[in-house]
Amino acid sequence: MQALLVEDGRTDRMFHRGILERAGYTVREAANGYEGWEAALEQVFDLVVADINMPKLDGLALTRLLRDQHRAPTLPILLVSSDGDARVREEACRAGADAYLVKPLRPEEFLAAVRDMAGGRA
Amino acid sequence: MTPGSTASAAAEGGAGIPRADLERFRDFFYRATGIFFDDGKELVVTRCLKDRMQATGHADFLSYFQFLRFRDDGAEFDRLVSGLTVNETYFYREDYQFRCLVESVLPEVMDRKRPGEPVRIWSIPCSTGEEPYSIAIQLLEAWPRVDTVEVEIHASDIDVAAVERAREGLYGAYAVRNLEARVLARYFNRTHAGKYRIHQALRGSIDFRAGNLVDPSLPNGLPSFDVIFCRNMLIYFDDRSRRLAAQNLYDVLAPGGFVFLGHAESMSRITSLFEARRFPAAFAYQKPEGAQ
Amino acid sequence: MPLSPPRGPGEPPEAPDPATLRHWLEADNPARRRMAARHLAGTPEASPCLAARLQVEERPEVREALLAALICQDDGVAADALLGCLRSPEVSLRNGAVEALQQMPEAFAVHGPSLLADPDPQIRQRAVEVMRDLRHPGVPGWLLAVLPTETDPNVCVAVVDALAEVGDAGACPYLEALMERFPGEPVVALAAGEALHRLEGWE
Repeated sequence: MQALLVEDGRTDRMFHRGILERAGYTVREAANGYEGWEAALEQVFDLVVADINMPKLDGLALTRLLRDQHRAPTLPILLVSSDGDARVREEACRAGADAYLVKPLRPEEFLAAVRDMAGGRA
Repeated sequence: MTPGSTASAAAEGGAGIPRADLERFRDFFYRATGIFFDDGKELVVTRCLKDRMQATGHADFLSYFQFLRFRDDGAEFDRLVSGLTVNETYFYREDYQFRCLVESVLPEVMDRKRPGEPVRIWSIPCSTGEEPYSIAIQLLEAWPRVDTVEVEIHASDIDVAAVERAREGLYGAYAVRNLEARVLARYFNRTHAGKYRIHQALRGSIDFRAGNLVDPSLPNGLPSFDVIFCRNMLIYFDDRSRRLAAQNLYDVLAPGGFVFLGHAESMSRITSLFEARRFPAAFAYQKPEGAQ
Repeated sequence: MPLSPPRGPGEPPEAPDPATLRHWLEADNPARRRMAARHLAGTPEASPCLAARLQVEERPEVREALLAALICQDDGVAADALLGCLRSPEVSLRNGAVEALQQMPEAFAVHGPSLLADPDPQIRQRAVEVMRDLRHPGVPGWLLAVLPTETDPNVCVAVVDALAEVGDAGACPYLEALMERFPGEPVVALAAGEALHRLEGWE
């Protein structure tokens, strides 16, 4: 299973990568939204995990691009953010994300969310 | 500066730069240019860094890095990037983009054109001309509509001497090594000195002029372009210059127009105003059609 | 040859006077607003009107030109407007403001570092993000100073990641103390561990 991890923070990238790999994913990293978008254009992924607050192209804009213009509108997308405000969760949903989690991620929570999304899209 | 541990002691003695420092540099360089050095590049990067440390008079990596990170005005960054990237020009370099031009981009451009409107292509930086001439040759060789559509090719470079050499159109064997013999024979004459000179008709068909993409007044007096080749230049710019260049690229492009960047560059080098388009042969970046 | 030599460029049009340009900042036509912003960049006393327009502009290409113009202005009015945009609910405007502030180190240094003490951890995090790419020698000191007291683990991770690049071995005791303050947060230990690995060779 291929996961695309789009995250500009170095530690968060390492941390989230570790969780995904332990769950059995092969992880491709992108350090900003543009690289995430170009990676998504080049390769088919089973899952996208993206931070909302990234420079250049943020996670919400990336999600909208993936939904509107990409050929895989059913791609599971999980957005993460350090902002726990309910408004952000709504925005994530409106942009087309399947799930939203608040950082720091709890591995069990992360994995449960990923399993739910994968199950829903099967 | 006294080494505080065996790690730095091993490094500063001249064997190399400590891995931790290389990682620090790698992260910084990646954010600044989008180029990521994998572990196999350690020797190359170390050598280049040591050269630059010596050239700038810094005895150790920490002081060089702090200079680069906090005090450099962009000049050292430019030299550093030059040292770390391959920067040669030759005919049909990254030729998959020329294929993409003809196969994918020009058909879309033509869909938007009114009858009689010329197609305008810009090569900036054009250096000594290999790129704009390659574009011309590609159109003549591979674009079915080249006989019926008016095409203008403009070429600019900040280096006036390079532009002059581009107008002369004289090249050595190494520059033309990617060209098929048939193409070479069709568009070049061999000179007595064993060089290749591009035919006058091609030399005369390209508008060569000096130009600086970072000049804020650049868009004044320029026509609208349908396709711009801006390859392997933005990577040398600091953020401020890159932002200006990206603004200029956006403003001189016609709505729906396309930009080709160098293969190591991505949209991170320009602005979110462009849309990344993936074609079979290459990526290109498009100005939205609804824009003005 | 089918390829035709291009005609030369036309005469460049005259740029309108600043008063007209300021008026055009409010034009209905976004291309005109964008052009006005581009022409106003670097002109005296343009910062207030550029800053005011940024607060309400919705078109991305105009916003981009406004941000670029404010960077050119590089003064207190521009910096304060951009610092204000860090509080915007709109993520793309916030991001634009972060990138713009990174280009104005001296202007940012006046009020920016005090954001590290803002009650909102989101604001504190954005201040760290600006500093991550800010060309100002005060950055390592500003970041180090918050480590003993920062309560939000995400902000701590951002600070530590930035220090791993710009700090030196003087940060090590702070990093070790930080790990003790957040025993239940593996991500903090991960950040601090990596930073220690990178910094401890240096005095």
